[in-house]
Amino acid sequence: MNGMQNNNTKYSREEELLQINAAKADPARFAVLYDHYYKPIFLFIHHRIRDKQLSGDLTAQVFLKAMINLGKYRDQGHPFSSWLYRIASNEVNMYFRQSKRESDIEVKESDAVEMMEEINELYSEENCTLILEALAELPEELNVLIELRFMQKLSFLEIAGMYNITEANAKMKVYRALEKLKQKFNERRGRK
Amino acid sequence: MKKYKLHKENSGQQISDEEMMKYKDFSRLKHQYDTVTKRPKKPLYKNPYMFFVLVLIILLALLLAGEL
Repeated sequence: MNGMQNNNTKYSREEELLQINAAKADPARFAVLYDHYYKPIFLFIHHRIRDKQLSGDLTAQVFLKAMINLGKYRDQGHPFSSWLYRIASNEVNMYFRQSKRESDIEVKESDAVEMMEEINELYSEENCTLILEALAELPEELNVLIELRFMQKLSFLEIAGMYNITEANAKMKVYRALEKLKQKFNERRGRK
Repeated sequence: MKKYKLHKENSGQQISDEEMMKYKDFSRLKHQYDTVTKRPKKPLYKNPYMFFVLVLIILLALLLAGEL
């Protein structure tokens, strides 16, 4: 699971905090943060929604909420992106609740391969199907963690920020989710 | 319950930067923000002229109430 780096790390923490404080004082300065995080937030939403127009609308909604609530933002050592991802995640969940639409998530083949490597399984079409079925069978709080890490490619620090936990705790939660995934995978394989 | 579907690389819905940027508009966002957070109008009593008029109305009302 090493080597996954989010593109937001190129923005230094000090720089980011300066931008946040500037935006708190003058909302027009929020434009810098908007420019920097627009793409990752759009892609985060589009990955779940799969509709360009709707993703655009929800992304706008996320940034509007972020702008309105920026005064309440407190630096707790997590990247600013975690806070935005948390808002985005809530918006997407609210959308699915209100529209009563089923959440169909497309998993890239390379992401499925990565998940299989993590649970020490070799790639095959059959294993791929099994792992996705096993993933769907996991409780929501566990499959969300796997999605964040392997499909959305968030760093452990960003996941920690979303859940307001430490980075070590986030790592532990992801590994536990993977253990459960492996268990479900083996159960499914045993049944076939 | 969620459904996960395998998506082969270079197939299915990919979104280009250009398509994404079509929805990016900070001035619209700022306008929405200004609309949502617009401060309410200054209350009448904070305007010295209106404050005087309000006091006058209250005094007149008291005067009339006392005479009745």
